[in-house]
Amino acid sequence: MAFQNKAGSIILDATLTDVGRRHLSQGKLQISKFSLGDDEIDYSLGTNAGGEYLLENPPPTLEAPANETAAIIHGLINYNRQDILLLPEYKLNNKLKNAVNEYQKIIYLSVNDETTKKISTVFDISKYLLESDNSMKNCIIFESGISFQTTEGTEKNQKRFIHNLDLHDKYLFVYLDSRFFESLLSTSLSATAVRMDAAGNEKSNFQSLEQAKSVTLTAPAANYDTYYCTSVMNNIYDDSDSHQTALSVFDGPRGCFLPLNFIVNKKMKSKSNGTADVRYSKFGETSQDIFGDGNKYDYVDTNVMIEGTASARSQIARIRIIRFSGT
Amino acid sequence: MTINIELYDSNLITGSSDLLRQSLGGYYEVVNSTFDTTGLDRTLLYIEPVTDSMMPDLSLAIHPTYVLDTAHNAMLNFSATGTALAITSSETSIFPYYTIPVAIAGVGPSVVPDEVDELSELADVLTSDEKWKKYILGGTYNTVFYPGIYSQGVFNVNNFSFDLPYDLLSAKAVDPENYPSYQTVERKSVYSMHLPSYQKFNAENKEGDLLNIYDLLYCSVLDQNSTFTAVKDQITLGGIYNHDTTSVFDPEELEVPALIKTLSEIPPADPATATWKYTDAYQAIRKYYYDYEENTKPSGTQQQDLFFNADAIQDVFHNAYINAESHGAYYPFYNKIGLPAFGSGPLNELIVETEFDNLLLNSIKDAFITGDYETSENSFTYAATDLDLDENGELYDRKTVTNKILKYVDFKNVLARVNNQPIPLSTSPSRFVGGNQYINRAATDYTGRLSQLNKQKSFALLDRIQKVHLSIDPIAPPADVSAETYMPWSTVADFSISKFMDLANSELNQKAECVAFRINKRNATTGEEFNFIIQNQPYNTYGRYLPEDINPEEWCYYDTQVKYGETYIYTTYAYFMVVGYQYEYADMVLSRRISEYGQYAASDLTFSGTEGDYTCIEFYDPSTGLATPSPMKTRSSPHFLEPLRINLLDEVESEGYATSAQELAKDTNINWADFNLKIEPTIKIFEIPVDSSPLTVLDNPPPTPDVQPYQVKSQSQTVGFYVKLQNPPVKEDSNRNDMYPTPTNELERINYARYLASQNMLSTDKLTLGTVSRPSVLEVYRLSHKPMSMSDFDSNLVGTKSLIISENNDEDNRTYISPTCFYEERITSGHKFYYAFRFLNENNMPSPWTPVVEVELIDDGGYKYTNFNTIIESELGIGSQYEDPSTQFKKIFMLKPALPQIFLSSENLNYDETSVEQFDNVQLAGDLSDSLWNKKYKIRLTSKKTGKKIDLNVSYKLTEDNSTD
Repeated sequence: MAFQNKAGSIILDATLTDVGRRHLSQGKLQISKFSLGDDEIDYSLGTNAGGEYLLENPPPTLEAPANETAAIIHGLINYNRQDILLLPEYKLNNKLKNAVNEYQKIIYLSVNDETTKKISTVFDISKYLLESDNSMKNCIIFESGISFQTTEGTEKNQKRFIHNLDLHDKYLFVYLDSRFFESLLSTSLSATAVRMDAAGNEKSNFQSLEQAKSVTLTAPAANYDTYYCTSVMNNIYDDSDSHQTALSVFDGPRGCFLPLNFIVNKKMKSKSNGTADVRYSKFGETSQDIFGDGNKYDYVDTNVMIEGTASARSQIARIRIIRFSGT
Repeated sequence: MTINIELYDSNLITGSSDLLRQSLGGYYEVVNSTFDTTGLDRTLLYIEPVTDSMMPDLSLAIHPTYVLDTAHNAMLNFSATGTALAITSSETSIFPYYTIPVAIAGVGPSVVPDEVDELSELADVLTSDEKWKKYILGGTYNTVFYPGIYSQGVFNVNNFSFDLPYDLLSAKAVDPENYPSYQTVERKSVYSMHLPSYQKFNAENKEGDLLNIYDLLYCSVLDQNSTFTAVKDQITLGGIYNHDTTSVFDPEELEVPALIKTLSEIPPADPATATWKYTDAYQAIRKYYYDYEENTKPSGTQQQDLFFNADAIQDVFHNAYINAESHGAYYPFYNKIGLPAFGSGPLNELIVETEFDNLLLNSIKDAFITGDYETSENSFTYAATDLDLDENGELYDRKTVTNKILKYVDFKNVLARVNNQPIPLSTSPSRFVGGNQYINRAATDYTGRLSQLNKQKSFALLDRIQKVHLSIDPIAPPADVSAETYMPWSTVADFSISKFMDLANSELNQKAECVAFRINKRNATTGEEFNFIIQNQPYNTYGRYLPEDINPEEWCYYDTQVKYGETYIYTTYAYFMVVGYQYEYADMVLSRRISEYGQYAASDLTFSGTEGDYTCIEFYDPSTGLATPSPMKTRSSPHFLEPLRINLLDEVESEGYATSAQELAKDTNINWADFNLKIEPTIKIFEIPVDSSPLTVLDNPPPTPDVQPYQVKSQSQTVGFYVKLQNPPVKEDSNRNDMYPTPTNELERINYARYLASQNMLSTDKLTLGTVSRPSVLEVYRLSHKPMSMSDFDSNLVGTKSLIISENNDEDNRTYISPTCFYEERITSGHKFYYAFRFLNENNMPSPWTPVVEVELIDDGGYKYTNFNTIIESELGIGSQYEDPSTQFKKIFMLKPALPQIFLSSENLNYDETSVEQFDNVQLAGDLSDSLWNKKYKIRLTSKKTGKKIDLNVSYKLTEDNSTD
């Protein structure tokens, strides 16, 4: 559906499914729920003077999209309480064991051992590199939590600011570009929580990772697959010695962790003596000396998007799928 | 708008045993209502008494304007009354009573008695003393039966009326659009907090050990030290709480959002050093409830009957309302029983001012609960006027008349008993709510140590009644009270028998006031009963009040001593104190002729100023036949009946020739029936059941699950459902658009009925309240055939998913849930499955059903995909909807009989003949043992992709065409 503002009268343009048309013809069509979003608005084109946001030019008149994948990415969210002042957000955790770090603002994902070996001469792969198909080594870890002023990361605050407000994401959707990824690795059924002992040591059981399920639920963008994953509880709480700062990227109450790794499309995993998959040339770059060490790489940059099913909070990580292509 | 109720004593209705009233008028007939279109409604028509006269005036003789019972009054002429005698009190009554002589004259003989013939004997003509006697007392005279017009006995008149508010649910049912404008009384169940251990405590203990919110309010809002010791111990939890210093109803400021609802957020003055503050209204009270169940040692005793006198009502009723509904839901769960506001007047004022209220409430218990006071029953005709729908669905004034027997206690006996023996009668467990002042303790002190207080209060009341309300000469009465208020017959100067009879039509509610209510609570499972006796003194009233001044929301009882899921039947009784009267006819004498008819001319008498002829008559007691002077006292001044009747003693020249029972009767007025009418005021307390409602505390249904079906992208043949809470799970959700979930089995149907009854909901009403406990479980139901109704899913639960993250419920925590979950199943391909989902909350209350999801996994040559279709509940059972009854498709195969089947046999042909002649000798497939001709075949095609089937029915018919064209 789309609103069309025409000289004072508002027209609601809607595209109905076959079932919807049938119900309309029978006089039974009832709209029981709807979502609102403003993905089409570029807010950089407006001003925020006086607390009221004004676009310099009227927004475009939109037709109702008929595409099934035309989901709202930035939609309005209806929470169940009026006193939710703080929402948890997702950040990349780079402090837990096996948590991968961004290298020059992007996460590198090696497609094969040859590539991993080559990159190991460039940076510390134990910190900065993901390896496709690997369930025990580095993984990208999303952490949810709240950092706000002096709000502490206590257990009580976790329960009241997150759990009690139904903002704990036990499940998350992960959206991957199906052209580049065959599957996703995430938590197993035995994974429960990450906690911190009295000495400040990490206690976790989320690895090894297992393959997540790809489902037919609609992803927010074309060519993306939807996976759903189960998070692990973030039971890291502030202690008197502030040990938590070594494990968590949040100062305030914490929600969950979501560790992920990826299985890259097998055609993209060919070694340098093989043929480079066409995806590298079509969607990325080939034979690039990106580290200045004389080695050449093919790579594709893509995004991984996660979305909490309870909080509706989302986060995007930039991933560079990289393959050693020769010297 | 209210329901108007009028109650009439049954002896004021047609056919009663008061024969004189039937003769003179002043009674009611049950007739068809003029508003009625159904012919079933009834109302009462008042038959006014015919006019009579103090002094005889033949022009005022009875000429009935109204259709009276001619069998009763055909031979009546007129009546007259003598001087009333008023006695203020006597050995037999503490109230004044009146004795008024009455004389009834028969229609004078139109036939001279000595010339009676057979015809006049059968006609309504007084032909003899015997006929007069039969006519008066009843009996058969000369084959004609006379019902009589005089009956001995005591008759009561306690007519009164009141306006009863509509029951909320009834008003909704009758007038769905305008019912808010009706005066209604609400009875409902409320579930506000889910405190599992407190709820468990209530479930496991007797109602008497459960927290009574009025006790907590008294201790918290007023003074915990001024209440009864046992109550203080219970409410302070043995001294753990000091309610005088800290109120559990006060909000608390926390650094975290409130568990249920934050009242306000307060930003920090310096964000660098302080955090936001959140105001939680329920933090303290929640802790108290948890502490209550932890620290209360159940006594196992039965719940006491509770009294709420005027002081207690002023102290706690308003606060109870404030903390239940106005400021918020501070009680975990309760039943609310609204009370009608009937108003109150001088009688309630009298009770309050003389501080008789405690004794009144206790007496009501002793009379109507324990039976320590003797109660009687009074038969009333109950006339009600309310709004109803006629056969066309239009509102109309419905009038109904029924008989009702009400129990009552004679308040005179109560007063006498309390005065003479001021120790309470019953020792059944009961107590007053509120302070433990002497006056509260005295009313229920069975030791007698405080009996003097009871005597003082009862004497004060009796004294006021005797000197003011039931006094011939009231001392300093209220402005609206006079001797006539409660004794309208007391103005003897104007008294007449017709006016007395006409009192039946006086203002009904003038002498009746509701003085108290009793809410009887019965546990439907155990049968145990409890009583709350409440004085009719709503908050902010003192003695008198008008119904319109009362906030109906506030005039109610909040019963927190209940168990979750238990049905209690609340019956509300109103106690009306009715100042009525009783009367009797006594000392009846009849006249008989003792001289020739008209034997004495007026000129022969010493009595002057009259004309005509006189007949000598004698009055006698009809039961003995002995001569007896008339109660009219005709010989005494002022000689009321002269010149119609002259006492013979006044005419004889010397004593001994006549008796005072002998009189001279003028002209045709020779038939008399004289008696005394005795009238005495009464004060009775009637018990009127005004409502009975079953109430069950139940949580509200959780939101409908929002289900998105999907298929797992693999060869696993797994379908799944992404389920989330559709609406915010908050308690008050006025935007809910769903109905109560369709029940699927008997237990659910019972709960459905209980929920609707307890929420004043019609079956067509939408839910207005959200779940209080958390939705905790998703139930998944599956059928392998298309359901005809949601009931088909009963017993087809295939899986559950818990939403619970943790459930350590205490004052700081509740059950935390994940508002989303996933459910997956492997299914076979080529078959349709039907799924339905619902949430259960922590109280196992189901949510509305989701639409049915039809799932079919299709294996398209190894490529598997799933079709999902949604069927809303209203579409179930409609039948198959053939959207495309026919469709075109390409020729994909051809049926061709085998060659032998179409081979023509020429074996029997004679080629010498013409073809026409040999036509019948041609045979098709004649040699085959199994010919296909004239047979039917079914060919079934089954899609390997979808599993769908199509049947082709083929008939091979052999037709002959031997035309030569």
